[in-house]
Amino acid sequence: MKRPARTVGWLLTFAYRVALYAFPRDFRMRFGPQMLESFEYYRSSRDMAGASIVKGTHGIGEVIMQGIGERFARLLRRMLPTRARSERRALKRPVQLRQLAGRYAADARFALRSFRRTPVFTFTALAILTIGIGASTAVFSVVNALVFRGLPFPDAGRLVRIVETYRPPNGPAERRAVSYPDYLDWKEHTTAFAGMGIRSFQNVALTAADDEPMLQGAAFISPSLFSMLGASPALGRLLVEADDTPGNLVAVVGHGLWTTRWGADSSIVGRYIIINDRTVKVVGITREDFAGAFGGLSLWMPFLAQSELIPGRSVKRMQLRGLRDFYTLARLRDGVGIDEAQRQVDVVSASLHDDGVLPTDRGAQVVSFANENLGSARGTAVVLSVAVGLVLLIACANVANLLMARQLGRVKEIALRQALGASKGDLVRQLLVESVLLGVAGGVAGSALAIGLTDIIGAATLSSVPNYITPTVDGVALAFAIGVSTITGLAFGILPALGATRIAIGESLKAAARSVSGSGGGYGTRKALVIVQIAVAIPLLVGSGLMIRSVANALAIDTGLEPHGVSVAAVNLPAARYDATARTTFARQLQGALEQQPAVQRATVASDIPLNSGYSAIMVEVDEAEHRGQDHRVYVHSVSAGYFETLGIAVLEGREFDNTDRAGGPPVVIVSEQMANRFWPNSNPVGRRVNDRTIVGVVNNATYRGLIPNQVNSPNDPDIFVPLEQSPTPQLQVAVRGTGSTTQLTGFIRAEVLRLDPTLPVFGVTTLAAIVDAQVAPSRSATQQLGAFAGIALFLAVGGLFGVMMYTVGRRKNEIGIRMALGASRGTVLRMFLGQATRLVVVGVVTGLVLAMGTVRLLESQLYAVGTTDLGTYLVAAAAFLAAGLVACVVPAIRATRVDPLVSLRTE
Amino acid sequence: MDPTSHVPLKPDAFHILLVLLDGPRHGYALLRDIARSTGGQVVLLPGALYRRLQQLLDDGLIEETDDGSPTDSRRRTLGVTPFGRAVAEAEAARLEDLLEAARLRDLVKERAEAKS
Repeated sequence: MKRPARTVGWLLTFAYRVALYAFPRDFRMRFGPQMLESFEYYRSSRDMAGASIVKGTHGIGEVIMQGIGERFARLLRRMLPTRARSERRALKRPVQLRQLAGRYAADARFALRSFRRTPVFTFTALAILTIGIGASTAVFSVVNALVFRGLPFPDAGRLVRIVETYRPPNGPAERRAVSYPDYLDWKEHTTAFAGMGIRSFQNVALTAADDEPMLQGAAFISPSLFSMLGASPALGRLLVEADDTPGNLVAVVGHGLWTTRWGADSSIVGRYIIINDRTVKVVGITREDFAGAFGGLSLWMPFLAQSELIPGRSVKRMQLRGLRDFYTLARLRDGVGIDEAQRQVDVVSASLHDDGVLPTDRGAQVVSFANENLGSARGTAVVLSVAVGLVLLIACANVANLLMARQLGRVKEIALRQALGASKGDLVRQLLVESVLLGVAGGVAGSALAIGLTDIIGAATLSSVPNYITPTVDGVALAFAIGVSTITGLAFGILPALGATRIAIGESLKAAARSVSGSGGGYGTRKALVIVQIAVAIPLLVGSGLMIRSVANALAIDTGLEPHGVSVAAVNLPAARYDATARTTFARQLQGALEQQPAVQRATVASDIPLNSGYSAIMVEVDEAEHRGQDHRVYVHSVSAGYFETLGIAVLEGREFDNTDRAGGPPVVIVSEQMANRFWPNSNPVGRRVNDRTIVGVVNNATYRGLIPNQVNSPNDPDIFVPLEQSPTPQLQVAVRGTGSTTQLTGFIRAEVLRLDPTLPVFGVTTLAAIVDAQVAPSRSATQQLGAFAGIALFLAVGGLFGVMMYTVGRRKNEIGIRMALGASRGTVLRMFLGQATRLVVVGVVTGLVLAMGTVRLLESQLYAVGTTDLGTYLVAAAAFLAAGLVACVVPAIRATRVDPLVSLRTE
Repeated sequence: MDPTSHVPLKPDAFHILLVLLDGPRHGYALLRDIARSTGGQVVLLPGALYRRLQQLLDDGLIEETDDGSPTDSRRRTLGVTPFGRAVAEAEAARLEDLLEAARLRDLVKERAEAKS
C-alpha cells in the first residue's frame, strides 16, 4: 500500500504550505522553505515517535498557532513600548493611563456611530457572532456541568464504587453487581474506606391515602449513605443505622415526590403510606437540593426493609453470594488512593478464593464514582466542543471577511486619519476596539441564545448520566461567553486591522482607489479566509456524515423482531398476595382476556421483553457428553404461550410453547439459535436436555440486551426460554400484537389489569418499535447536533465564498469591460470566474480533508460499523461542498457576464 | 552589549545554543539534534523553532554562515556568535547558582550509578 501513503504525504505537504500563510509575509519569505524542510523531516523521521499522519496534522496545527502567535506578538510590539523602541518612545510625551482610557472611550463612541451608519453589515456580523458564541456557550455549559462542576456531593472526588468482576475463560472482564455477603466482607476486612454502604433499586407500588396505586422508583440503602452524600432533612429525620433491621418499615420521602404527591403537606411526617401492600411509616423529607446518588428516585428505605417488601428478597436469600443485585457506594479515607483501596479489596477476594466461597474467575474492582457516572457523556462533550470550536472559527473568519469588505469602503477615512497624524498603533487600536465591541455585543446576544440551546444540547449529551447533572448557563458559563466574545473580537479583528495599516496615504487619497487588477486591499487575505472557512467546515461535514452512517448501521441491525403493531406494558405482582399459583392464574387470565379483544391478534405475558428490561443469567448444565459436568452461563426468560408469535421471533425447529406447558407438566425449554449452534452444531437439538428440561423448539436469534455489542451484550450469549407457568416471575411484561392504535392496545392492557386487580399499577407503557428506537436515541441526537453544526458551518462557509466572489466581480468590472471590449465572449468571462471559484473551493476542500483525517478520530469510540477513514463519506462531504460552493458562485459569475463594456469603461 | 541582559534565557533558546555550540547546523538537523540530545523530551516543532531562531538571529546570538555549498541556497547553516556564547555562559552560570541553592536544601539526589 505504497500509493495511499504517498498521496497522504503530498496532501500534508500541501496543507503545510497553505498553513505557512499564518505567518507574516517577511517571516515566510525568510524561513518558509527551511520550515517546510524541517516539517518533512519531523513528519517522516523515525527519531520522533508517532505515525506520520499524526505528526503531520500536529505539525500543521502548530505552524498555524505559531503563525498567529507571531502576528500577535508583532502587533503587541507595535502597540506597546518595548525595550527596542524605548529610545524612540522617549522622544514622545509619555502616555498617561487616564489619557489612554479616554482614548479607548473615544474609540468606542466612534465605533458605535460607525456601526449605526452601516446597519446591514452590523446586523449580519452580529447574527453570525450570536450563533457562534451562543452555540459555544451552550456546549460549554454542558462541559462545565460534566467536567468542572462534577457531582453535587461534598468531596465527590473521594466517592467510589466497588463492583464485582467476572472474567470469562475467553474474553475481557465484565462488571457485575455485587452480593450482600461480598459487601459485608469488604466492609469488615478493609481499612481504606471512611464509609461504605450498599443500595438496591426497586420499583414499588405506592398507595397514598385513597389514590390509585402508582409505580415509584425506590432505593433500599444503608442509612450511612445519607451522611456520605452530605444530606440533611428538610422535615423530620433521615435514616439512621438503627433503622436497618428487617422488620422496621420506615421511609424517607424525597422533596420532589413530597411536593407532587402530597402537595408539600408537612403532616405527612409520622403518617403511614402503603408500599407493596404493607404499611410504611414516613419519618422525614429530604431537602430540595438533595439529589441522591441516583436521579429519579425519591423514596428511601433501610436496606433490610426490602426483605419484607420485595418478593424474592428474604434475609436468607440475601445471604447468598450468588444473588448479585446490589450496588455499593464508598468514600475513600483521606490520604488513601484508589490503588491502595484496590489492593485491600484484592486481598479480600484472594481470601474468599482460598476459602472456596468465591469462584476464582470472580473478583472486585474499585472504580471512581464520578468517572462511572460521567465518563461516557464526557466523550460526547469533547466531540461537541471541538465541533463548536470549529463553527466559532468559521464565524470569526466570516466576520473578519465582512470587516475587511467594510474597510475597503473606509479607505479614504483611514488615509485621512493617517494624514492628520494618527499613528499605525492608533489605527489598529481603533479598529480592534470596533471588533471587540462587535464581539461583546455578539456575546450578550449569544448568552441569551445559549440559555435556550443548553437544554437541547444537554438532552442529547446527558442521556447517559444521572438527571441531577443539570447544565445551566451560570456565572461560569457567562464568564466563558464574555471571554470568548472578547477573544473572538480580537481574533476576527486582527487581520483586517493589520490590513488597514498597509493602506498607503498618498495612493488612497487620490480618487483612483479603484484598481484594475484583483489584487491589493487585503484581497489575498480574504481569499485565505474563505479557504480557512471551507477547510474547517469539511471535518464537520465528514464527522456528521460518519455519525449518520453509524446510526443508519445500528438501525439496520437485524433485531430478529417484528416491532410493527406491538404494544408493551408492565405490571408487578406484590409478593404478599401473589404466590406462584396466583401469579400463574393472573398471567393466564390476563392473556386470555386480552386475546378476546377483536383488535388483538396475539398477546403474551413474560418476565421480560427484548431490549426493554433487566435480564438474568443462570448457570445451566447441558446434557451432552462433551459438556456434562460443566456450568454454562445462559440468559433465561420466562415466557407464556404466544411469546414468539407476538414479538415476531421466528421458530426455526420444533414448536412454540402452548397452553399444555403448565406447572406440573413435563419441564420443557426453548433455546436460541446461538445456543443450538454452540452445543449441537451438527444436529437438531429438539429432544435434547438442558438442566433436566427437554428442548421442544429452537428460535431465531433476537437482540435482547442491546443492538450494539458491548461489555454487557455479546452477540454470542445464548438465551433459553422456559414456560412462564413453570417458572412464574412477579415482575411481568405484557405485549400485544394487534391492528388497533397504540393507545387502544395499551388501553386494553390497562383495563384488563385493573379489572383483575384494581390495586396494581400499570407502567412502562410503550411500543416495541419505540423500545428498539430508543437504543439509538443518544447517538441519534448527538448526530443531529453535529449535523446542525455542520449545517451552520456549510452555510457560513458558502456564504463567505459567495461574498468574496460578489466582491471580486464588483472590483473587476472595469477589467471585464476591457476584456469584453477586446472580444472576450460571455462564456470566457463565465469560465474565468467559475475557474477562480473552483480553485478556491478545491484548495479549501483538500486542506479540509487532511484536517478531517486528524480530527474525526475523536469520534472513533462513538461509531458503529464505520471506520474514521471511510472513503465514501469523505468523498460525499467533498462533493457536497464542491456542489454547494459552485452554486454559490454561479450568481456572481453570471453577474460578471452582464457587465456592459460601454458603461464600465465610461466610468473609468 | 551586556550578555547578562539576555539572561534568563528561554529553555528552548538554551537548547538551541547548546546544540549549535557542537557545531553549525541546518534547521532540520537542529530540530533532530535537540530531540536526540534530550532523549525526545524536547521536540521543538518548526513553527516554534523558527520563531525562536528569528529572535536569536535578530538579537545577534546566532548567525547564518555559508557552509560552502552554493548549490542549495536554502541550506543556510546556523552557528553561535561570540556574543551568543557569552550569553550561554551567563545562562549556565545562572543555572549553576540555582542548582547550588537547590543542593543546599538537599533537593538534588545523586544520579543512580547504573545509568549509562
